[in-house]
Amino acid sequence: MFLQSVKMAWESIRSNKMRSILTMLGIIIGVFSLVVLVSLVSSATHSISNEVSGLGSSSLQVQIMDDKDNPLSLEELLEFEGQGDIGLVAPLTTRTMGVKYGSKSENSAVYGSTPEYQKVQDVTLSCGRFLKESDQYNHTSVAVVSKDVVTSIMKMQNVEEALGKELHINGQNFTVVGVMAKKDSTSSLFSQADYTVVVPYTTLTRMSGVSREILSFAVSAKDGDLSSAQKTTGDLLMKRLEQDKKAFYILNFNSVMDALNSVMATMSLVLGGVAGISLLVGGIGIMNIMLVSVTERTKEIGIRKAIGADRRVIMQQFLIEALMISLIGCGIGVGISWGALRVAGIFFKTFPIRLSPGVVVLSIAFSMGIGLIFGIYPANKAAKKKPIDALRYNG
Amino acid sequence: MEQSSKYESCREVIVLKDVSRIYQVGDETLRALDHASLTIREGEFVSIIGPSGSGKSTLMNIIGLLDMADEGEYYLDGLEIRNYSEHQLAKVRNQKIGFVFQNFNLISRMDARSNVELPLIYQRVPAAERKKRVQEALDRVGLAGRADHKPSELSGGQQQRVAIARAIVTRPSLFLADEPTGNLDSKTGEEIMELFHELHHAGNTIVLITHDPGVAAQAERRIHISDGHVTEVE
Ligand SMILES: Nc1ncnc2c1ncn2[C@@H]1O[C@H](COP(=O)(O)OP(=O)(O)OP(=O)(O)O)[C@@H](O)[C@H]1O
Ligand SMILES: [Mg+2]
Repeated sequence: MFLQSVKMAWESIRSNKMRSILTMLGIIIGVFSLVVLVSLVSSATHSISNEVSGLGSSSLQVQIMDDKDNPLSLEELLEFEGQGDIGLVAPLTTRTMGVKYGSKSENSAVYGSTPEYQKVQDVTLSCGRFLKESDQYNHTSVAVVSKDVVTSIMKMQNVEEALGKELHINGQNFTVVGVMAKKDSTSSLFSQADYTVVVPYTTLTRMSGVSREILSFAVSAKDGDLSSAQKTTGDLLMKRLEQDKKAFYILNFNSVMDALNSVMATMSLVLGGVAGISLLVGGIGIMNIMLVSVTERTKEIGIRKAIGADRRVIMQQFLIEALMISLIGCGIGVGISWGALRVAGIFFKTFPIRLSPGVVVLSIAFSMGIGLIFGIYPANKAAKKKPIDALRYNG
Repeated sequence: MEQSSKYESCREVIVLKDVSRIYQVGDETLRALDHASLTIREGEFVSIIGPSGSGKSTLMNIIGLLDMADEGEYYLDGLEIRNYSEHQLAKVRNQKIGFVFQNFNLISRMDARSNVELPLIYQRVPAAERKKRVQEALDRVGLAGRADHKPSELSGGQQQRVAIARAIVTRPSLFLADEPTGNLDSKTGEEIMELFHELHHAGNTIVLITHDPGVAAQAERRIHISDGHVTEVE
């Protein structure tokens, strides 16, 4: 019986193609805007949070703006380790320098740091090793480089090849001892290529034009509790920098992420709400057409009742018809959205755009709800017609 | 049904006692049926005749459970129908009664086959059997070759045959026909009447409304009606 009702509904939709499509249009547009807008926002959120987590969301980044003519030394910095909730500390003294291999040269960020850098910044190695304590003592000229340095500057496909090769940095030779794996941020919203070179802090500060003072460093938390590590770091720096809270800045990527996520969630909600309203309007369109259809088919309803349809069967037929219109409309809307997002993805390369499965499920549920809600009134109107009145009706 | 009719040929299928149908039009009360009483037995072929507006269709709609009497009692197959639910009424219409109307009342966007199939769908007959019975019914009214035609692609006589096929496909024992030949020429009308005679010979009860004395004369019994009163039963 249910299957028969579905068949009948389908035939009725098909026998009035133009009108069915016009009715669906409201739902199609509603679903399209809902799916596209929410997918765009969620794609953007996804790639931004990937970028941010790529920058090291498991650590705090500290900048000292004003050292009160009393610069922080590495020894002082290392004393921070283990205090309160602070786990490890790594200096992030950085300069942009020309990195040269063969004839190719590119400006790269060169970090002077300690072995702790690996843990604090959550670095995974593709091959080789990271900096060692002995590199620090001996001021060795070794470098750990990012994958892009190997592929783009050294022009090697295989990262293993780079090990043991010499890079020229600021006129000094450095032996590549390790290659860092790429963070799984697939996009490139902030940087086109990631040219990063990490060398021992002691080696970097011996190079010309680099002072020994520490103006930037990273802090990890003991038990992953970044906000209390942030508090401890803040307290220590306040003491060290004459109680001037404007002298330094602590960036906690976790709270940046939280803020970002809540902004994006609000955006999704607002855009989704606007799209939802157009879906609702589409629903009213369905009700309108179903009411016309009920009046138009009064005679048919009478005939069906005369030959044995009861109220439930008629109700079911019209409800299924309304549901089908809204679900087919939803399907078309999702299909068009999928196509539009694919096309947008071809032209818009800043971040990858994908259909958000959540919003597809949501729009299917929403369309079903709308089909049901706006179908019930016309269906009931059809079902409660008295057989004789319906048969006598002359439209 | 066809077997038992021999032994119970006196069984009363339709019993109306003082049935009235009252319409309120503006301030006026109109008794379309006024204390009508009649009895129709199983296997009878009865015609109902009377002038236009006398209440023939009203009577027929009450007998066919399409309308409800405002006063009086109606027993169908010995059961008082007053207390039937909407669902039960639909079921009785579906299983026991075959309707044939003056204006055919076919669903215009469905072809002949689907129109005939519809009552079987409401009976939840499985698809394979439906197909077989629809074919049989169309064969019986001589329309096997027109199964794919929509009503608009059929002549009046052919449309009425489709309607008769739809009525017989559920194998009911009671046929109600409201001027089935009213919209047809006399030759086509004769052919349709032939089908009713066949149904009657097969043991079914037939109630047929007509204006045409020639058609009425073909019935075993005539019930006259005027101004909502059953005036004469021959
Ligand atoms: N829904 C209605 N509302 C008001 N009056 C009605 C209604 N239906 C029928 N009537 C009246 O009831 C009376 C009987 O109508 P009915 O249709 O039974 O006549 P009939 O004998 O079938 O006539 P005809 O031979 O023309 O078909 C008529 O006077 C008609 O105006
Ligand atoms: Mg009439």
